[in-house]
Amino acid sequence: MIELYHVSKQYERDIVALSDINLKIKKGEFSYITGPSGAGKTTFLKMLFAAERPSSGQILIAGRNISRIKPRDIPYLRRQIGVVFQDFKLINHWTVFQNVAFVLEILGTQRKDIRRTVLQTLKRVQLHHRADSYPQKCSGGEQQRVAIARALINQPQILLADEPTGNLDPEITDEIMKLFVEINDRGTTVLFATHDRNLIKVYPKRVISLKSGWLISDSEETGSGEFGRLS
Amino acid sequence: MKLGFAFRLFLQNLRASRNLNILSIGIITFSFLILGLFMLASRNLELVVEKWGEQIQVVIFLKDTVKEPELKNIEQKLKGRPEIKAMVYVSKDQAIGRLRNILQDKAKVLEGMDRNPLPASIEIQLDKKYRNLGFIEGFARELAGWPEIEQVFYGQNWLKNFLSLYRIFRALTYAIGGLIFLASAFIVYNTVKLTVYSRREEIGIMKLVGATDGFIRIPFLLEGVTQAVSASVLALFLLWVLWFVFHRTVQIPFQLFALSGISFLDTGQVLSLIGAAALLGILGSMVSFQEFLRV
Repeated sequence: MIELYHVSKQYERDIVALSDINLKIKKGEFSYITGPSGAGKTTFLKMLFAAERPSSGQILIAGRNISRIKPRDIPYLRRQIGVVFQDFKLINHWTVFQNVAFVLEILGTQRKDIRRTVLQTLKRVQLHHRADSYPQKCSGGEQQRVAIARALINQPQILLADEPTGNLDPEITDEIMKLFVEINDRGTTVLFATHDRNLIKVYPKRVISLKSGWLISDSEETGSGEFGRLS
Repeated sequence: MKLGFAFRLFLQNLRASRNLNILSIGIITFSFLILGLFMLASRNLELVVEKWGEQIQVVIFLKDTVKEPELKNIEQKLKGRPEIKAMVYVSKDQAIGRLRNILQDKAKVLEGMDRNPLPASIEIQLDKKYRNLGFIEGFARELAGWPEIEQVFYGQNWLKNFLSLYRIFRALTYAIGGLIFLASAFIVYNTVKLTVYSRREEIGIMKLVGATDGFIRIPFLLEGVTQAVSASVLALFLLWVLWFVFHRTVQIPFQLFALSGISFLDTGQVLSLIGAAALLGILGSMVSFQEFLRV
């Protein structure tokens, strides 16, 4: 599903974000991207939805090389990938419904279909009662679930998450985590960046560890990553 | 469907940032008001100058030997020419009558004369297009060649001064008007940019979920155009109120300017101001939008 060959990213002459990353992520897989701050987790994810371009190397998503993707093709790539951020990235003067519905609006979906699909998706993240609320009236956990609903509504094959639980307390984190696992169970490939070791212990999956831009371990290859591979 | 959504989004944006929009419209209105005031002033000055221009006359003095049929013939020849806006025949008697009026109580000096020494004349007013030195000189030369005509007079020196003053006036109007227009354009651009800037996060989010630039741009274009156009209409209304109050309350000796009063902008000017506003709104939001698109 996702393949990286010798991918490097250099911001300026001496700021290296990623160095020679080689990686294959299979369809339907759940993988953590972990490592301390500045390890390159965010850059890694950004390159997958073309917010950054690799300085060298090739990235293939569903067999398509996106390393040299044309700017006008980027929106169409992003429609196939759901992204969830630590800071939710919701539009505050739109209701929960509007935030989620926007994805379908840009696709030109019929209004009645939009309404049905949005309410269904909000139900899936248990937020259907919040449809008409504004994000700032919602708790952090609720806001993140809105963001997840937005990422899911288009039924993307890939879901990227950049520290999605970073701003949430442990109970809410658990709730959100369960949601990601459930999404993955339904067949979506999930890439989950986190530095929360506890989370990885509780929900063990493939762990890809980065440090200073280098891929230092991958539980898939060694058979036991930093925290072992229990499932 | 998509356009409908973009339009709904635009209406929602207007409501969501009402204060910012009011501020923007206020700023743009003010800059258009200044531009409008300048246009009003220069239009009225232009009208004055044009009025003076109407005094550009070519006077042909007829030989005393010219009789009725020859006069008819001359008038016929002149009437056919598009350069002539109007002409008046002044007979020998009328000429001496005018002189008497000018001399008033000293008119007695004329009584000693045994015959009227003043020639009959035709005063020709030229069409606006032909009020230039080159044409007038050629025209005068041509008329001077006609056998019935004694002399052609067109106030050579006055005309030269007037026309060069008029040229300077026009150049100044264009230069100052152009500068004020540029300043307004700059203000409109920056104000529209303010709106886009306040939404840069929103733009980023829209791009992240796969909206194309074209799609995101539509509500902003509509917002920029709405701001600029409504500000221009408001500025024109304020300008009209100012003009109306001034027109009604201030009594200027208008005869001094050869005008019956101060005129408001003509329809063409009003429409071009609104059109320019719409264009600036579109350009302003397009350019500033491009700056915030890099996500």
